[in-house]
Amino acid sequence: MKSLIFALTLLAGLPAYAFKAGDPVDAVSLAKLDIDGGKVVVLDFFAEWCGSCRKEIPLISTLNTRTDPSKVEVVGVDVNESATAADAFQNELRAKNALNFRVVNDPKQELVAKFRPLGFPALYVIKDGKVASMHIGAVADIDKVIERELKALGAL
Amino acid sequence: MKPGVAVLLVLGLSACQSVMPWQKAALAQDTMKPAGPVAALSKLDLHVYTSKEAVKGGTGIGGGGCGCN
Repeated sequence: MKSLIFALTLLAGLPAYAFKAGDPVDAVSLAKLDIDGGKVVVLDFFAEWCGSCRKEIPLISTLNTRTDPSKVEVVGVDVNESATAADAFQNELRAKNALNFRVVNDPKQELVAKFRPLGFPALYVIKDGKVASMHIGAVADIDKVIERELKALGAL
Repeated sequence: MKPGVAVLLVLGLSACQSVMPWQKAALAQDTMKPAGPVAALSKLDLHVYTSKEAVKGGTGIGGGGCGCN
C-alpha cells in the first residue's frame, strides 16, 4: 500500500505532451502563429538560454533555404519571458546569418504551454493543421531529418 | 481510514511542482551551477569530488537545465 501511494504521488507530478503526432493543433494557436493552412509548417520552439537551440537554429535556417516557400514555411517561437532579450538574441543570430525565418515571440509562454513539449529545442512538423511529427531535444543533423520528413509528406 | 481516502489525502499533501522545460531560464543560468559561474571553481570542485568519491562524469548535460538531450 505504501509503495502504491508513493508511486501515485510521483505520477501526479508528471508532465505530458499536449500534442503528439496525428493530433490536431487548436485553432487559437494556429491563429497566433499566423500559419498558412495550405503549407507544411516547421515549428521551432527555442530560447536564448537553451544551448542546443543555439546549435539547432542555424541548421533549421539552412533547411529553410532548401525548401520551396510556396510549400513549406518555417516559423520559430521564442519562449523567452523577456521580449527585449528575445529580440536581442534573434538580432544576434540574424547578424550572423544564422536565423532566416519568421519568429513569433511568446513572452507569456501561452503558445508553448499549449504544446507542452517535454524538452528544448522542440520541433513540430504541421500539415493540414495536424502534427505530422515532433522532435524534442538535441537531434544530430536535424535539418536532414526534417528534410526527409518533408519529402515523405510531398512538400519537397 | 479507507485506502482510497488515504491516497487522495497524500496526493493533496504533495507540495511538488513540476518545472516545465520552457520555465527553466533561471535554472539554466551559470549561477545555478553547483560551483557557481566561475569555470575554474567548477573544475576545482569536480577535482575534489573525483578525489573523494573515486568516480568521474555524470555531472550535467549540455545547455544547462533546458531539458535538452
